[in-house]
Amino acid sequence: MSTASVPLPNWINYALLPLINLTLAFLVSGLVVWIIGENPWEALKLMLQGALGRGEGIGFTLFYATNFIFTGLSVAVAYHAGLFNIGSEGQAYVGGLGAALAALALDHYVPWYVTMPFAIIGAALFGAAWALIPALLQAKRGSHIVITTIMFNFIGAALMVYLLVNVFIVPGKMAPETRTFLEGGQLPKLDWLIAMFGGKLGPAPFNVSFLIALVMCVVVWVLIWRTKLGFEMRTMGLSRSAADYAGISYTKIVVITMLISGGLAGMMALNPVLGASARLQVEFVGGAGFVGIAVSLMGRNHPLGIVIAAILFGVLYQGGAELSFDMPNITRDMIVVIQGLVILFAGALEFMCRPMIVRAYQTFVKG
Amino acid sequence: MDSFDILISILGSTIRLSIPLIFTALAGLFSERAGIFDIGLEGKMLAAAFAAACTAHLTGSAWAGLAAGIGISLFFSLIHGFASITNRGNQIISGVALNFVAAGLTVVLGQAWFGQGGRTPQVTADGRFAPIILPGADAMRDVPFIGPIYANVISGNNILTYLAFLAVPISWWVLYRTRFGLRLRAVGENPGAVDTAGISVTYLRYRAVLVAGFLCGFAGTYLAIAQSAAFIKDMSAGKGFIALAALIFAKWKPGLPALRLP
Repeated sequence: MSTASVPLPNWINYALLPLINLTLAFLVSGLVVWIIGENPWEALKLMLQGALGRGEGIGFTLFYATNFIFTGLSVAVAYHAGLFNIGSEGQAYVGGLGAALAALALDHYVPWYVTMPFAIIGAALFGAAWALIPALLQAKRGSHIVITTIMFNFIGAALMVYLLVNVFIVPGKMAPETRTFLEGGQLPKLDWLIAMFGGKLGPAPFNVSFLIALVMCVVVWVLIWRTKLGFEMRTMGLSRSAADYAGISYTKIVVITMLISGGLAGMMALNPVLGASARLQVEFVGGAGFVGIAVSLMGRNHPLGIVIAAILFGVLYQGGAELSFDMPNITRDMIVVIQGLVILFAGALEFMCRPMIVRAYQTFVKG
Repeated sequence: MDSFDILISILGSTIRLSIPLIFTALAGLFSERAGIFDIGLEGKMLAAAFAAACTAHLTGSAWAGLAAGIGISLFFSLIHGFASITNRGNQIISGVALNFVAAGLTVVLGQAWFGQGGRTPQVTADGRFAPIILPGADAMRDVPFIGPIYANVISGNNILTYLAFLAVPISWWVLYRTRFGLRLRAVGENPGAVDTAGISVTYLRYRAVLVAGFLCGFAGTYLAIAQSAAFIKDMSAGKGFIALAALIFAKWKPGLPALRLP
């Protein structure tokens, strides 16, 4: 009998299988570390120490995790509707423009909590706008959304460099970036949260965006599993023909889903732009959009899973940075390898181990 | 420089820059005609470029570099096949994953082995594919009109360039005039029918994916040791995606899909 149709209990589907896939990805990563002549065990220890050892490390870890929660949610929302949004990177980059415009316009006049909602709306609007054209092309013309969103990443990068170099640059300065926002355009740090657990945040830019990210997790959960729109999105993701037959408009769902997805990606810009550097810089996204893919797949496209996966990738980012000081052979590009392996094992090879598990389950649990 | 000279030099560089696109677009053609979407062309090309540059640097032989490039590209293809054919995973996710693995691994290994920030050391002249001067190129040079075209555009390219242009009619012949090609196109359009006819869909698709890997190996090798003399971080720079676009632009048929102004 084929093992594909055997139902498995939830704890295997949602905990054991992802854990096995993750372990495989990390085993292969360890193999790579071993090949370049370093001790994987030692590397892991240094990494965990760097990421979770001190309050500052934890602050950085959670700062990175905030980025990945936003981009992970962005990828997950699209994924539920059967769309693979690989353009979170570009959408976040352009979203930064919206956030920065709000901050530049308001920071002279009002405190941060007034600027914040405008910045959120601006970031989401600009991010969504950057997803609109690929969405329309997919919905109306059937252009492959993966290719159009990749291309829009390139276009977005070029556009932002143009704007920063020619429009937003501070006259007389060399660096292509906007002026530094005043207090009114900066999101405050969450040092009290770290202090509650007895740590010291230090210079780590862990800020209010983290809370916004958590709120968005709840919003996305409600949207996907508790609204009519979410139901339609999931229906379309499972079977487009069934959705068509049920009278769900393909065009409408594709466009709305991509707008939400782009908006979530755009909101990621709040964290680095308003929360950390207080200015819009070139390449501030730094690959977080692509990490979002791995985070979303690893978290099984569920907000709770995404938070856990995002924190894990935060550990990798922060720990990886510390690690490259101690082991110069392991550059930060190692993270890209790990990211690729996680996408491979948790995404493409998702069901590789399932037949084995099913057999074991039938023998031991039911047998 | 008059406009004719400019045209000649544009033609020459068009050809030089289009070679990786031709190879990868043909690779995508074989893969997608068999029903396996391959967005990992980029990663395969990058991995092949790295392997070719390393091997050519260590052995000093361009052909060894080519073999290594093809080898690593075939290996990536097998992973893609294992994920998307054997395990029926999402083909796009698998391709994207391989792109990341290639982008990261080439830099990590390059830094660990050579310590030049992800670059590989310069390959010597023997380790590169040198330009081939076709017979009579120098004698023809002064003939008006045809002379410069023959001497500067047709002659003076390396062997991989000629192979690329040869690969186009060969691909057409394989796809449209052989049993393998017919079955390959059929498996892309209706795998159920092929299965009913008693032909293994799995085996056929694996072969298609391997052909794609083989061609991507040439593209990567060309980038690393024919066009330049070393591997540079992210040197494929989106060419794999552009090749996919070229493939779509050419409506999934061979016939010089990638030859356009860079």
